[in-house]
Amino acid sequence: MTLLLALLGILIQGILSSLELKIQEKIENAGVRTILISNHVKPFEVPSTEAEKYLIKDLLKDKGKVIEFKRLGVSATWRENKRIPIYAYDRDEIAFFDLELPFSETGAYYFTKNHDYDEPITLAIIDRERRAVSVDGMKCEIPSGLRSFVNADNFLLLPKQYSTRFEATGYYSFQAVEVDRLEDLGEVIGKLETLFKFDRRNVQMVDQRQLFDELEKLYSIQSQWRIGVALLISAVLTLLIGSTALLEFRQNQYVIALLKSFGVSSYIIAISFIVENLVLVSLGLFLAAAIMVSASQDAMRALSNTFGTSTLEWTFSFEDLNVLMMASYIGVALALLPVFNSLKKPVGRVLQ
Amino acid sequence: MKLECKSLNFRYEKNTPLVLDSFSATYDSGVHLLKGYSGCGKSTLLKLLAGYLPPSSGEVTFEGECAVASQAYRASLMSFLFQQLNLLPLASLKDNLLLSSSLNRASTQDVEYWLDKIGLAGQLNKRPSELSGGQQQRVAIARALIKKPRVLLLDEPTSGLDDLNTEAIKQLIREYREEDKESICIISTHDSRLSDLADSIYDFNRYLPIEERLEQMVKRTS
Repeated sequence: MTLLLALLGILIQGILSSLELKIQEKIENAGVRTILISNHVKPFEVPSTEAEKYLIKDLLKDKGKVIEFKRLGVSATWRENKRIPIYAYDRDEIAFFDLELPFSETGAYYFTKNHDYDEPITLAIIDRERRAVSVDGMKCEIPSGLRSFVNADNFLLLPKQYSTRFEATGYYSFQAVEVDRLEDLGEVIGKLETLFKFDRRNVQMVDQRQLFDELEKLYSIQSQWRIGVALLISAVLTLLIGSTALLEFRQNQYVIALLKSFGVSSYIIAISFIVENLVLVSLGLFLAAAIMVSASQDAMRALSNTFGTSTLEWTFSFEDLNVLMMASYIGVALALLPVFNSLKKPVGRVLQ
Repeated sequence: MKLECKSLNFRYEKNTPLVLDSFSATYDSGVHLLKGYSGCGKSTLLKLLAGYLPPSSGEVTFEGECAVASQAYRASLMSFLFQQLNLLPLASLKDNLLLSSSLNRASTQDVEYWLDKIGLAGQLNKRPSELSGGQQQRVAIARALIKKPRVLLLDEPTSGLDDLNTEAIKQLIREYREEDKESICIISTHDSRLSDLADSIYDFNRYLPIEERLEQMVKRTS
């Protein structure tokens, strides 16, 4: 019964750990210290994004840096006429970010997922008039640093000087603000919100606070489950030890009366029962803890494979062990009650 | 040597009739037989003399001291044979004998000596459940005698035994008495075959209320 409950506990912990990993991955991919501010610039509209960028830079002071990406209204094609979204960037701005971009003479990249090696390629960009413009670039895997700014698996990244001719059809502008220190994130978000409220600008701002909240919530659920399962196992343990003790009550009563009839002192009998119970339960706990660590790690490995997550970790919690120890020792105390009761009973009332 | 009870009152539960009512008696060295009908209080008296039951009032003294409930009295001075023997069924004969004398440090040689004496030589590792009723009774007597008690209290030591086994037990009691002539042996029994052992016989029925005595007499004659 205890084993089944323990396995259930491990399974639930495994599921929660898997969710935790997914959120952590999401946070990592999205960039923990990044705020994305998006604007839609309509065709032929005079963009306010340049001015906005300076305002943000002024507001940030030395607390972070900002880079603008533009999602163009046109797309590129490469082989099989696959349509690839195009993002534009400023080469001077990107130099301040450590994105580990591979070398590309033109500064154009075709980023794709799971691409083992970098290779130069030529893509065709189709403008609104259906004219094709070819661009030489480098096909490579998306650097992890870039994932914080651009949420796409396949895209073309062009330097500003190539993209200007396609901007007349409108685009989405993304101001990616990277705050240097996590502690300043809240303050910067607050200032930006005030700025946009003051300007009555309809911009969309995305930050990771929600994900952090989700993670916090998950940690709290995890800890509640842990305590719940530990308490349930403890209750079962207490009941098991207590009921076994009650079953042994008659047997103990007989043996205790017999020992007392031979002149063995009540104190010696009491001490021998206490020591026996404590030693046995402590030994049992020690073995259970040792088995639990290895069994749980095996179970976590199995769960990792089942859920397809790379690493599910299980950390040994002394809090859980403390709860189990407390429950076991309460069980021992319960088990000793009939012993003390028997010790008080006169021999002549038990033995005939 | 003297075992004495003074004005003993005993009842098992509150608001139940007294089993012993102002009972006084003095037992000197020798064999004393307590006779009487079932339920007249013989076994209860033995348990009070052993210190296994606390009296409701009055006292039991050994050699003038109220020491019957003490650990030393039970450990070294007194032995008790229970009606139901109370041998440990899963323990060997050796362990059963050593257990009673654990505080007196009896040796394996002592166990062998007593098993030989009761006709179970070399059967140290046998369990009580493997023995007949008579053999078990003899083992129980040996367990009582191994620690050489000054007071031997026997509750129905020959009940249900054939003549041969009864004689074996009587012989053990005789030898015990011969070894320690100062010892006190009190036997509660229905068995008239033990009468020849006795230095004195106490008719316990006379302590019963008259109504109960009449009831017992009617039962016996019918």
